[in-house]
Amino acid sequence: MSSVLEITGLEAGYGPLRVLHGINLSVGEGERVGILGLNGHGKTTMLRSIVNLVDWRSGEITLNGDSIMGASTHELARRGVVLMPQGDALFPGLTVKDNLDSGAYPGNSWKFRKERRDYVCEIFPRLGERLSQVVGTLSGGERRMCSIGRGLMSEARLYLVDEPSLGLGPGIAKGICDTLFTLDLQGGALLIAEQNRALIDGRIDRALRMHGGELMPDTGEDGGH
Amino acid sequence: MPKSRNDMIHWAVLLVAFLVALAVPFQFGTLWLLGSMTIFLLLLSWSISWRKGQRSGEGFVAADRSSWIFWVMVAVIAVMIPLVAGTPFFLSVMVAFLVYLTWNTMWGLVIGTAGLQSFATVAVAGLAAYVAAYLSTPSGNSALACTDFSGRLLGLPVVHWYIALPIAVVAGVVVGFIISLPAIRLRGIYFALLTIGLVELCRAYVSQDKCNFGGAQGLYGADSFIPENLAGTLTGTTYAYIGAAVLALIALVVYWRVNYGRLGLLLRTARESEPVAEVLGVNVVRARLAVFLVSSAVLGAAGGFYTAYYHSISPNFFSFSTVLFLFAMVMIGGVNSPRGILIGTMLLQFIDQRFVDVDPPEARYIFIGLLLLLVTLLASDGLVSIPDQVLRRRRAGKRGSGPSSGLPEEVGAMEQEAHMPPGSRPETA
Amino acid sequence: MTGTIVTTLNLTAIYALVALGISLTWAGLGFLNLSTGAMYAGAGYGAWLVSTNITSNVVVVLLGGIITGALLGGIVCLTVFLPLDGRSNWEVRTLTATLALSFIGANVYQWKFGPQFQQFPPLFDWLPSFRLGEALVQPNVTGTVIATTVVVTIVLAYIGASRIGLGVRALTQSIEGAALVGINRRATAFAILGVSGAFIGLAAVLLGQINFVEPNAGYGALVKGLIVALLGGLGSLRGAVIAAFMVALCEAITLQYFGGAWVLITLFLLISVVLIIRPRGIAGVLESTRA
Repeated sequence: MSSVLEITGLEAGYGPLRVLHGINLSVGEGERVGILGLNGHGKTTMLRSIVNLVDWRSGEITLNGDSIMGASTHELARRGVVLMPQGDALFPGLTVKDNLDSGAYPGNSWKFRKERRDYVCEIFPRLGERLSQVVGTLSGGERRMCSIGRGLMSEARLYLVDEPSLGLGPGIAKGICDTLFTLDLQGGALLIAEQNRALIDGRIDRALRMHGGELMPDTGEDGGH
Repeated sequence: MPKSRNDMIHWAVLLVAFLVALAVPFQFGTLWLLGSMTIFLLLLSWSISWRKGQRSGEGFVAADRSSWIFWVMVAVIAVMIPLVAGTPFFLSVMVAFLVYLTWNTMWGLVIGTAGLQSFATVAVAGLAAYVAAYLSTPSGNSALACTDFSGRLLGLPVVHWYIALPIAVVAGVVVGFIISLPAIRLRGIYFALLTIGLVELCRAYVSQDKCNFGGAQGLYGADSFIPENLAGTLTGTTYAYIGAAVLALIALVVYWRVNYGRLGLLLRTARESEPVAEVLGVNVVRARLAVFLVSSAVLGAAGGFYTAYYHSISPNFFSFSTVLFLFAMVMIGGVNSPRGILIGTMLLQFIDQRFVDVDPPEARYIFIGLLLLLVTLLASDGLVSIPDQVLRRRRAGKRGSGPSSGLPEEVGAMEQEAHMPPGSRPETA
Repeated sequence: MTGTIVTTLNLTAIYALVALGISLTWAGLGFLNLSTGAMYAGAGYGAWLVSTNITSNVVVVLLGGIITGALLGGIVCLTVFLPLDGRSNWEVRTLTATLALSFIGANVYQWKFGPQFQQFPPLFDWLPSFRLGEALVQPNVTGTVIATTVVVTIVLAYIGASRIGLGVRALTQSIEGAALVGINRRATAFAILGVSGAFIGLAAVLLGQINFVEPNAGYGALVKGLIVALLGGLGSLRGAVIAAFMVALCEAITLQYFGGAWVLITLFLLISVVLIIRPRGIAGVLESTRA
């Protein structure tokens, strides 16, 4: 099984602060990997490093064997690396429809945006009801659905999901996680950072823990709930 | 003081550079002295920054107090100039330079130290100059459309320059105070736009007020401190030079006292972050008001001097081209450094005067514009900041891709986005 | 009275165009394009050259102005935005660099075309004049209003419906979000500055019908455009249009009852009043009491 994502010796940080200390990770085709751990230990930084949204990084990251260290964030989006970030990074002044459509921005996805949008609205009916509503007026849960939905608008190779349950009630959080774990990866991979162990237990192929900027095997200890 | 062989070579090179700069005018004409001294001072400034940056290990020139050697050389040159000037023309170029320097130094205090993007300097100086002209121009000599005093605002008597000048200072302060009021309420860019509009407003108003301000032709025949018989002579111009030098000295001292004193500290804190400054107990409003008033007083004096020296004032003073020319002077050298302001003003005055005969006449302005563009694109804060930039990049390069090695484009842009005023993003585009 | 309305309509259209150009650049890219003046004058000259050397067909001349403006916008993107994007001290440097372009532009135009005022052949004479109350609506006013409405509507519709338009709109909202979905900010910058330039170019041709084309025409347009954009709230396109109307009305009334010399003064008073009440402009949102 060849690897979708291969990280070797990744160090990264912001300004003078070094957050990640020598991360090594290999994610294979069709794999769902969970990263557990408390806030502030580097889960978000790692996901952001993959798409080049940190101040500095060193080491090596490859996507399907090709190095992506030199690629910019938007290039990576076009190459099929989709980050659904903490904070959602939505466009507050635009409608739900526009936000979703933006997820299909890369040339080959744009043609099929109507179909993809219909598919996303099937999964998240609440979005379908609010297509012409301005995103800034949505509730927290609806915004999260929109952000996740946007990430599903293109056929990605690698889905990076950062704490999808953050700030959400248990019902909505479970619904979103259900969607993510029933995604047909089509040979791609899913990397999900989550504090709430219960949401991902049993649904991922492998679990790791991020502690103090270092990645280690998950021992099953309750590092976060 | 020379500590090692490297040091001695360094000073020897600078000495040679100075002597070469002195010799240049003999070959190329007196006006080139201005150009060669500019280059010399720039090299001197660079060497000071470079050595200081290497020593401190940080690459940032915090204060200019240890650059006394620079100001000593400036003083030497200033004293030398009237002695070697062969013609009144060269001296008059220097007088103009000193007046510009006075304005620009005060402008640097507002834009640089206080971080207030303002173009009001021209408005303050110009209005003060107009007040001085209005007060000291006998109606018989001027282009006033009214032939008697009945049309004049307030019907004030004509006075001599030594009364007009102090009143110009007061006028400057008053105008500065009025301009500072919106500064308190308005955010950076909005205030800048307001001041641009203000200058344009001044121009439009004085152009149409024939009675008091001479309309489009302006006022001429103002009283001057140069006696009639000495006007246009070397002696007369030397008096003007001394006067202008005193003015520039006052400006530099004011800048020094404010920038490196308590007010400057308060202003810089407020510039970095207003909320933080407030929490620290800085009365931001009062600090900004203070810097406006102080700089306006000096600007007013320079405006009054301008009128007294040139015997006249016209609406061209407020033209956008004037604003841009002065702005270029300030920014090319480096707005946050008095050395930079001096060098920038010198350089542009030289280019403007030396190449005034070049055909087409716009060529030198195009050159100045291109120079400003280039310096802005390449240097983070004008010509004098280049050594610091080079040193910083060297240090980052040595560390490899570790901390502070340069941001990826989106991160840098996102930082800019974070600094944008809230509410500047539209509801729906 | 209706004469004032006619003047107002004419000026509203033109000021709205320039302010839209300035606001769009601010919203999409985060910097204030002070080379608007150079773009304005340059587009005016471009259209003038078309009208004197190729044809005085109204559509072609208007297109000449629009295309020249768009090209100049592209030049601003290349020379100012791309080199400075993400660099230190960027606010002051973009301000300075665009001002430098203004300075260069005005002098280049004076060099190449001389300081004399150039005039456009009347472009809209084939339209009828008609009466609105007791005032005569000149053909160029009708033409201006129609041309502006058509162009702005088409462009805004395109921005609303197209892929690139979505990219532009997304950029005005979140740089990070735009990057994450694959929008190339630097490439989109060309589109933004191009559209901005197109609007400004159109304004130059339309206003050139009344005023002339001359090297320093840009400064006046820049000041007015900035005033309108600021008044409307920088970055708000809706605000720019409303503010254009207010400024145009103020100018028209002043012209009618006080004379041209007072225009800037009343304008200044208007801005002062509005900004005291709403320091972020008409459509700007007051986020904190400290401006």
